[in-house]
Amino acid sequence: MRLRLLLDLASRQLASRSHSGVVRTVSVLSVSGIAIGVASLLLLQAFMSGFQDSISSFLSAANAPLLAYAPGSELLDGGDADLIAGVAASIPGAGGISPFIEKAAVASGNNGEIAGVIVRGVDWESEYAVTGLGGILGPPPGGAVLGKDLAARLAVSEGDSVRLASSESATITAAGRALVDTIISVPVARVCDFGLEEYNSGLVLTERGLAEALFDLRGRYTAVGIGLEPGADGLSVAARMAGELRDEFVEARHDRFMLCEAFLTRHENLFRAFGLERLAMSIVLGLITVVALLNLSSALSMIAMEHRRDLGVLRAMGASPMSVIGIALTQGSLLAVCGCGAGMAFALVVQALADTILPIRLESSVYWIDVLPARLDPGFAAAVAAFTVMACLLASLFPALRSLSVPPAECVRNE
Amino acid sequence: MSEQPAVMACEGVTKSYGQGDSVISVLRGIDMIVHRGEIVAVTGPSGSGKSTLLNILGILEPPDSGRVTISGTDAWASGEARRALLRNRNLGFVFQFHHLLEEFTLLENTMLPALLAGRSRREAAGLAADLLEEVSLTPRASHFPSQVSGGERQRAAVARALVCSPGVVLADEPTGNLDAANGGKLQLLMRSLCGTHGQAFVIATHSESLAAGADRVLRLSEGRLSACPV
Ligand SMILES: Nc1ncnc2c1ncn2[C@@H]1O[C@H](COP(=O)(O)OP(=O)(O)OP(=O)(O)O)[C@@H](O)[C@H]1O
Ligand SMILES: [Mg+2]
Repeated sequence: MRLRLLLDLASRQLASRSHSGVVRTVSVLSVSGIAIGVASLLLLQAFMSGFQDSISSFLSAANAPLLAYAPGSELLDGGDADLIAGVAASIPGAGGISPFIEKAAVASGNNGEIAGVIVRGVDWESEYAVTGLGGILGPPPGGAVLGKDLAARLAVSEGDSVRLASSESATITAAGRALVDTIISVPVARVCDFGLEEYNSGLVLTERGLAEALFDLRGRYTAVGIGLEPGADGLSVAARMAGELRDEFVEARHDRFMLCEAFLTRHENLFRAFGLERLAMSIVLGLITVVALLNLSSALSMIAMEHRRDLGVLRAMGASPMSVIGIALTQGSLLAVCGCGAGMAFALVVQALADTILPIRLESSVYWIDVLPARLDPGFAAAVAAFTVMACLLASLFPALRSLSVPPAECVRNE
Repeated sequence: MSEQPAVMACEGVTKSYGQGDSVISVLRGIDMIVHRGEIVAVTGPSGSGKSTLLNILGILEPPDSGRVTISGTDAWASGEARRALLRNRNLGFVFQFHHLLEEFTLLENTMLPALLAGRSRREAAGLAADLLEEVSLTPRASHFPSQVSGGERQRAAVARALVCSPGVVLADEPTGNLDAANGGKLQLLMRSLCGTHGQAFVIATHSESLAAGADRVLRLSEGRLSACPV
């Protein structure tokens, strides 16, 4: 049968106004069901990956992809850093290194507020080489960089200065009072949006020399950041690094431990929770889609029933069994294409709105980020579409086979 | 007539419905030959099996036993696809109720068998338009079945049955739900089409007048067929 005739027969049956419009209504309803199922699956995927990707990209932007550190907060020295640099150079995929100091301190600004902060002292040049900080900060600043929420809390802006006090070298007197002996005043060079609430409200980035002075750690580091070459897999490079470092440190020289891990594994629980949540939601929405498909198959059965006589007449006029199946499959694919198309279009529109004029705001102290981005994955969309079309074709096949199993006379007999 | 080749024949056809105790034997051994260009009327009381016989002759339904041959081909010896082809090329149907497809105009309905036969849209439209002209429906060609009268629908159904120039047209009570005037018109129409296109007609009918216009009248009763004097 020619395609045009097939499409004609299939589509006119679907849009049939006769039989008191029931067929048309049922077609529209089942298409809407599929559209809703498809749209909710796609949007779930889009927002969950948008959320996860943006948290992980903000996390990774401000940190080196791999970290080497000694367990138990033991400090590292220049010799350790050289060893680590040597190991990193020998492993494909690992990049340069950037030793840094990161410790808790207390900050105060113009309004008498005091805030607990994390001070990270870095060498700007090597830090820029292993992290994405350059993209956030621009040229290396000549002073401290504060997260925007922290700056607001301390009522400081660029050009002001903050005082940083370390509790590190406090001594406890007999009276039990802590005496802080290091207070340093630094100019605020930048106030910066790191994208993550955790950093915006508590991170102070400085030149490493200043952190050395603040924490009294001349020539020593708390950890070493290691870069990753583009395309390298962080987890496997981290695993190789860890193995090599153990050989180097435990067995060969120092008789102590040195660990290496991918930065994001520090947040493994978070990502695992995301994964679980996503799985649960996917199951629920997948079930919605299955319900929509069942609804479609009953709609197709009904349409086939309503047009039972027409199918009998077509067979009497010489439509082959393949044509009858062809009509049904065409109907199934028309409904699938309309449903999938509408669902995808809806998802795309929501994504476009969320990315432009109607951003979805989040409470950043709860969700870490303040705008929820949507990231539709074309591969996932294609998989959903393929599944839906296959299921629609299957659903349309059964009524057709059933109507073929009776002789045409049954269908054309006068009721 | 008998020197004309047979376009349709059946031999020893039986058919019964139901199961167990409630079996009704509708056809009990029917032999029948339809020649080219003749009009055969099948009469009989309601429930005597006229529709059943026409359905079996039109290979819309298998007989319990016996053979149905269409233009020399044993219809039930091959598959459904072959039968579809036989129906398309050799048979035309006019049902008691028009059975036009509601979603298609009269012209499109008339084109359908030709489209199913694989003809081009233009060719099919040409054939259909000619036939609609012959049944005086040209002004109604673009109307839907629900927009025209019962008689017009039935005439369109006749046009549709003829569009592929089949050897035989099977008409089950074609005038059954038409008034006498329309019935008479349809009868004249079939007669003239038979003359111009050379189709054979097998008409199942209660109507004395329709039967009277036939070349042969067969009477179906008790599951058997007997010739009636015209
Ligand atoms: N599918 C079926 N199942 C059971 N019985 C059937 C079936 N089709 C027909 N019959 C029975 O077979 C008999 C013949 O039916 P058929 O429709 O052929 O009669 P008919 O001569 O066309 O009658 P009418 O003049 O009223 O149209 C009837 O008794 C009918 O009840
Ligand atoms: Mg009947």
